[in-house]
Order: sequence, then structure tokens, then C-alpha cells
Amino acid sequence: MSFFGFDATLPRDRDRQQQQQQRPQQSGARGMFDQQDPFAGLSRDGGDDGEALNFDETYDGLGRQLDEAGDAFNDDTFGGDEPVTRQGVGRDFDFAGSTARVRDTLLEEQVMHHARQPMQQAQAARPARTGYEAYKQPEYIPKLEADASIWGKPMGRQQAAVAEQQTRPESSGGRKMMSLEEVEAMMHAQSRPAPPVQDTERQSQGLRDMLGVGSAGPMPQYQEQSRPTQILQRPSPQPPQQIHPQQGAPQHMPQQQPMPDYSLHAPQILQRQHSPQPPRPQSQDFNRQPPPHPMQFQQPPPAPMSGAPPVQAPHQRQQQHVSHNRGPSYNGPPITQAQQLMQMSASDREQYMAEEAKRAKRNHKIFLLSKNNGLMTPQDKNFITRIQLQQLLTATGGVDNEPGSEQQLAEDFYYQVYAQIRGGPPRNGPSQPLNQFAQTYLFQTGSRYGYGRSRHHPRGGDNHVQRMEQQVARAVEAAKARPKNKQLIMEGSLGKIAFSNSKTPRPLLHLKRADSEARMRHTPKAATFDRKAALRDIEKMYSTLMRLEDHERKLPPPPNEESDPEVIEGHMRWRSEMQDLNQQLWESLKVMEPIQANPTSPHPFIQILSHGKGKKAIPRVFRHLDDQQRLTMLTLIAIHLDILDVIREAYPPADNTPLPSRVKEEVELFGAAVMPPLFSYVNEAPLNIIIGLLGLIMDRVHVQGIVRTKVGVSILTMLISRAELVKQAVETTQQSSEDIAQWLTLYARLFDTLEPILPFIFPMDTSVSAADDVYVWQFLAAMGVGATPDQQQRLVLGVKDRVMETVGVCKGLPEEMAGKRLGDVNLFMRAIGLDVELLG
Amino acid sequence: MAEAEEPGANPVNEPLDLVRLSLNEIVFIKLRGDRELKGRLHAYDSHCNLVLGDVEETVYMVDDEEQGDEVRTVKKQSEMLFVRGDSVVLISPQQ
Repeated sequence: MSFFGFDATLPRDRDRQQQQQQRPQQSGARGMFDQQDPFAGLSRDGGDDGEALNFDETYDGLGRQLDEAGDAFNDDTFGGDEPVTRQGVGRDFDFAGSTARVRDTLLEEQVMHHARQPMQQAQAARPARTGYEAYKQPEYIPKLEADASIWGKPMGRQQAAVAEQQTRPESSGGRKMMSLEEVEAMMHAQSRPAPPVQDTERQSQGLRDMLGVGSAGPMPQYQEQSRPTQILQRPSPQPPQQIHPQQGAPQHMPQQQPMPDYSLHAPQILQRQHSPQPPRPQSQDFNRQPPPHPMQFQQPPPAPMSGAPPVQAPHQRQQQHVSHNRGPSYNGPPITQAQQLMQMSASDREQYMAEEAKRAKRNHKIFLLSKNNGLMTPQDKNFITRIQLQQLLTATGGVDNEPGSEQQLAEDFYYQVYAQIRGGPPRNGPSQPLNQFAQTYLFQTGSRYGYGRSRHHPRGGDNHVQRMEQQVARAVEAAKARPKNKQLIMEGSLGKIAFSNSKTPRPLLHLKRADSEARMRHTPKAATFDRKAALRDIEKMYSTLMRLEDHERKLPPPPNEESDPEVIEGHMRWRSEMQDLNQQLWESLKVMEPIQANPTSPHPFIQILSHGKGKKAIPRVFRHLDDQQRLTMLTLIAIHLDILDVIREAYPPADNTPLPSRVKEEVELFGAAVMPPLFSYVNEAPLNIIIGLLGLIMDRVHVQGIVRTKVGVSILTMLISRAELVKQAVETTQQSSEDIAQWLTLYARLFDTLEPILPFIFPMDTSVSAADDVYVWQFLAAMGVGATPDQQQRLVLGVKDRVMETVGVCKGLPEEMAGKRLGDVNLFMRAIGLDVELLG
Repeated sequence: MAEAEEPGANPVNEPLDLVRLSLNEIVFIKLRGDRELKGRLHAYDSHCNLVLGDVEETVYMVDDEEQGDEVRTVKKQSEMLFVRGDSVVLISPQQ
């Protein structure tokens, strides 16, 4: 059974086979399938002691049994000695090509046979032809594609009988299946005419095919009568719009619009197959349905479009469609064959040829022009830019809104504020220059635009937005006319999904809002409650702050004595509103909440300060507070120094590990946001207030603890330096000495408290060389300024080690760093009358 | 985070107000497509569009071929991120 004819049976089976051949009764069991089952013996083999197959028994010796004799024709099969080349491989297999070449001959003979009967009255016997005559002609385009004119009806004299058959369907106007013979007859008739005429004819025909349009005139007739759709498996390309060709075609030509679109066409054809119908009702459909484009270059029947003028954005389909409003000037039976030409008079012929030539030239030119139809031209880009600029103008405060008005601000708040903060360019306002640019651009391009276009499209420069809106409206109408589902139901899901749009938004749920008293109260966890409450307070404060700032912006012009009462009144109103808002802001800060002794949770204001956004709000808030309020805030902070997050969490841990970055950020933020306004206040505070504050701190705060943090040290420095300044100023003016005495006692008390831990003030988490300890030196300097000589001595004793260490480290540091560090130390040294250089 | 409304708090309390409380805080966002974000919330709006800073995105992927519940995670970092609101599933303060 094997292909090469060698015996494929296993030795075991072969033996069995031989045995079975001697026992014919058993071989009948295999009668149905003649093949040997190669594995047949395996399961039944018990003679191997159950072992696996033994190589020697089964496979050994098989090679010897291979029949190596059949190699005689190998060279023939596989190509012999020489390597296989492209030329070596024969082309005998090109059956289709060969047939195509002799197709004409075959068809001819067939047709001749069938048509012999009706064509008895034909003229002289046709000369014997081979199918290759066409090839002898120069520049002959081989007819590999079925020429479009096969759909047409050749009206030659020789085809009179065929024509008779065709006139019948033509007059009936209905579809009729043309028989194969008729098709052959047409094709055959086509292949006969004289070459040159045929060539031009074919060329123009080919060009028309390429452009997707037949000659508007002759085409409809052919389409009317073309039947061999079955052969090419295509629905009848009959344009339904074509009315009875005999009468209607010439008249309907002028009614055909440009841009025939056969991609719109095909589904129409599928729907309306048989009867030609009036064009108008369907033109609507064309606009609506853009189905996919069937890639056929056979039969591009022109389609009348709706009466809309050609849209500006060139259609991609235009590329292949060409035709003009002008109908053919040639009226009469359509011509495709040279026979017809010869039948016509010379003048007619010339007329026709001229017409053809003109048409071809026109089509070609259009084709060239519309090669880039899908791309945007510079005019298109300009158009879009203008629309965008106009929208920008109306969006960013608009031309109508006066600069600085509320509406303008509402339109583009962030940019306006940004420009204000940046100081703004030296122009009138942040918005104006942009508007001016936009306007200038629009005006200039508009004028250019208008001029360039005025010849063909007399439109103003400003109505491109209108044009765009028109297009949008048209698209919306088209979309509305299309049936749209109101709901979506997916298989296997439960329920329907409703679509919402701007007119029918998703309806809100109607929830009954319970009264505040009726709401259930339960005690939540203290920690989260506080945090939530703090966040709420912060947000409330921010909203109040923003309202306040908004109101501040609306400050009316300051009145003087001569101004109208209304102006004064307006001003008064504004001021009262400001005070109102101020009060609200103050309340939102929760500074006035009573201070509980040993509270379970921190004071609300302190909690606000524990958040970054709370800290950031302080400078803004400070601007709107009066002195009393500021003092109150400062006092509150001073009392709660222990509890402030920047102090509590910044306390250096016992093992001197660095603080977490989050804490460091908060500390920095505090120093940048909260300290400056407090500092500005303190710098104008009288001595007694300073004394009061410091006294409070000493009494209520664990000074030795806070002094190990940067914030604590900064606050102390702030107070002490201010006190010293005031003291020195007072000394010159001899003002109240009680304050000074009080201050001195306080100072001594502070000094005594801090003396033991002086070395520990310095930051311990990093090495001396990398430490950022300038704030410590500033504190020490402030202390040193007001110190008595004895106290100064003690100060030096306390920090001597650190000073020496720093000086030593600076010797190894680069120039800049060393200089900075030494300068910091010098802050202190100079305050007590020393200098680092003394130390060497 | 359920709690009683204290008197004097904002009368209008819709869920997005809670998101407001988390402004400038680290939040945890769960997105569609098995993704999670953790970052600092800078801005939000009624669509739940978000602007996040210093974001770490985690994408969870299941490898079916390995015949198990193998869940891979891919992490990405971004300095600033704009998230479209329709893919936001939940917003939560940092755990």
C-alpha cells in the first residue's frame, strides 16, 4: 500500500499474513478494509514475555527489505543534474493564460456556430481570423478587463439581429436575462471594429471607467439594457434614477448633478432593483446613507445628487467622479463602435469626436485637480483657525466684556490671577493683548480671505462660524432623522440601559433630607472625628477667605468729601460687608474656642494648624485680621507650643535618627508660611506684650523640650530679639523701666532654664559638617546680646565644644561652605564681643 | 468615617464635599481596569476628574496561563496626573 511500493508490513504481521493466507477463513475478517493494520499484532502479541518491543525482532533488518530499485526516473521528476532555475521550470502549467489567449478564437467560433442561422443575410463571410489579430496592432491594450462597453448595446449592422433581441428588452424597460449567446455576440462584435477608432474609443472609455463615470449620455442607455450581471456576479448597475432611456436620457442629462457617487449607489440598487424610478425622491437617501464603497471599476453610473452646492471640504469620493452640469451636446443614439461612426455622416462624426475629446480633456483636468482632494488646503486650515480664534475671543472674557469685569474674571480666572500675581506685562491688562492679537489676526486674515474669495464666493470675513454652524446643524438634522435606539438591551443582562443626553439628563434621585435634630447621633472615634472636623473647619475657612478676597476686589473708589452720597453709601455698604465677612472668617478660624484644661483633643485652631493647607492659609488670613485678632492668634499659638505638630513631632528621637521627610516638610512649611506674618506682628509689638508672651511660654510650656526643635528655637529667637531691640531703643529714650526690669528677670529665668541643655540645642541627626544650625547660632546671638558678662561666660562654656568642633570641621570644608559656617558661628561670637578668628 | 453632623457644619453635604476635605492630602483612588492610584489630590470636579501630584499607579494583571491566581502588579510613577472622572471608582483618604 505504500507510495513507493515497498512492503510496509511488519515482519510479525507478514508472518501472520502468510499464516492467514493459509487460513482463509480468518482473513475474511479484514475484508472491509484492505489495509493492514500496522499495529494489529501488537496487542495480541504475548510471545514476548510481556516485554516491550524488541528492536531486533521488529525493526532490525527492515532496511534490508527496502526496495531501492525504483530510482530510474528521479531526474525526470526532480529536475536532473542542473540546478532548478526560473527558466528551467517550464510554463506548461499556465493553463489560464493560454486559454485567455485563444479565448477570442473560441468565443468566435462558438458565436459563429450559434449565430449562423439568424445571420444568413450577413454580408460577406468574415475573413478567417485567429484570435491573435488584435495583438498585431500597435499600442493595443490587451483586454484583460471586461470593457465597460460590453454593457452597452452595440448597434452595428451586423448585429442587427442581436440588436433586435436587445431592443425588445430595451423597449420593455424591464430586466431580462440576456442569454449567453447575446453576450457573446456583443463581445464578438466589439472585437471586430477597426483598430484606431477602437483605440481612441477604448481609451476614452477606459478613462471614463477610471474616473468612474461614463459619458453621461450613452451610459444610461447601456445600463438600461445591460443584462449580463449574472456573469460578473454583480447586481444590476442600473441606476434607478434612469428613466426610460429613449425619451428621457437627453432630457435628464442636464438634471444630473455633479458628483456621481456610486458607492452611495450600490445599496440603492440592491433595494430597488427593477424599475427605474424618478431621481428626486432618492436623492435624499443618497445624502443619508454612506455605505461602504464596493471596489469595482466596472460600471460607475452617475447618480444625481441633491441640490446642495458642492461642499467646501472636498469629498474623497470626488476623486473618482467627474462630471459636469453641462450635458453632452451630442444628442442621438449613443456611440461606442466604429461601425456606428462609419454609419454617421462626416459632420456628425466630427462633432462626436470633438465632443469626446473635450470630455476626455475635461475629465483628465479634473482628475489632476482633485488628486489631493482628501487633504486640507491652507484655506481649510485658515478656516479652522479663524473659528477657533473667535471662540477663544468669546471664551476668554470676550471682546464685549470690559477688562477687569466680573464676567471676564469668571471666564478665565486662573490666567487673570496668574497675570496679576506675576505683575503683568506693561500693557493695559492681562487679557487685552491676547484679544488684540486675536482680533488683529482675524481682521488681517479675514480681509485677505475675503479678497481672495470674493470673486467666486462673495462672503463676508466673519461668517465662517456661521458656516460651521450651518454644517453642524445639517449634520444634526441628518443624525436626528436616523433611527436611534432609546435603550440598549444586551443579551444575558438583566434590564435595559437608558441613554441620556443633554436634553434628557439622567434624573436625580429624590432623597428625603432628614432634619438635623432627627439625625442619629452616635459617638465616633475621637481621632477620626477630630481629623474630619479639622478638615471641615479648614474648608469652611477657605470658602470664607475666598469670599472675603472676592469682596475685597470689589472695592469701590474711595470717596472724598465732594463725592455723591451714593458713592459714599456704596463705600459704607462695602465696608460693612467686609466686616461681616471678617467676623465670619474669624469665627471659622476657631481661635476663640475655649481652652479646656487637659482636653482630650487639641484645640480646633491648633488642629487646623496641624494640616499643611491650614498653615498655608495663615498668611492670607493674617492680612484681613486686625491687631487684636492677631495677638490672640499668636497667644494661642504660644500657649500650645507643646502641642503644635511641628514641635511635637519634630522632637529629636533618642537615637538621633533623622526626622521623617513628612515632618521636615511640615516644619519647612511652618517656617515659610506661619512664621513671617507672626514675625511681622512681633516686630511692631510693644515690650509688655513680648514680656507677656514669653511669660506665658515659660509658665505653660515645657521650654526645655521645645528648644530642641527648630520651630521652638525660632519662636524664642523672635521674641528675644524683639525684646532686645526694644530694650536698646528704650534705653535711649528712657521709657518705662518696669518693663525692662521685668524683662531682665524673665531673661534670667529663661537663661537658667536653658543653660543645662545648651549643647543639646544643636541638631543631632546629622554630623557637624552637614548640620543646618544657623537658627541655633541666631538664638545664641539673641541671647548673648542681652546677657551680662557672667551670663555670657556661661553661654560660652555651654557651647564651647560645638564652636571648636565647627571651626575644626570648617578647615576641611570647601571655601564657600566653610565661610558660611564660620559666619554663622560668628553671629554668636560677635554678639558677645568675640570672633572666630580669635580661635584660630 | 461615619459620624454625626455637628451643629453649625455645612448644611449641604453631598458626597463630593467629602472629597473636598481631602484636598492637598494623600488619597487612594481605585480606577476601572484594575488600577489604583495613590497620590496627593490637588483638584477635583463634579465629574470626579482629578488632578493628582506625586502619583504612584498600580496595575493588577492576572496571568491565566500559570493556572493559578497569579496576580502581577506593575507600578508606575508620575509627577502630575490628570485622571478622567468616568473611570474613577472610589476616592479614599490614605489608609
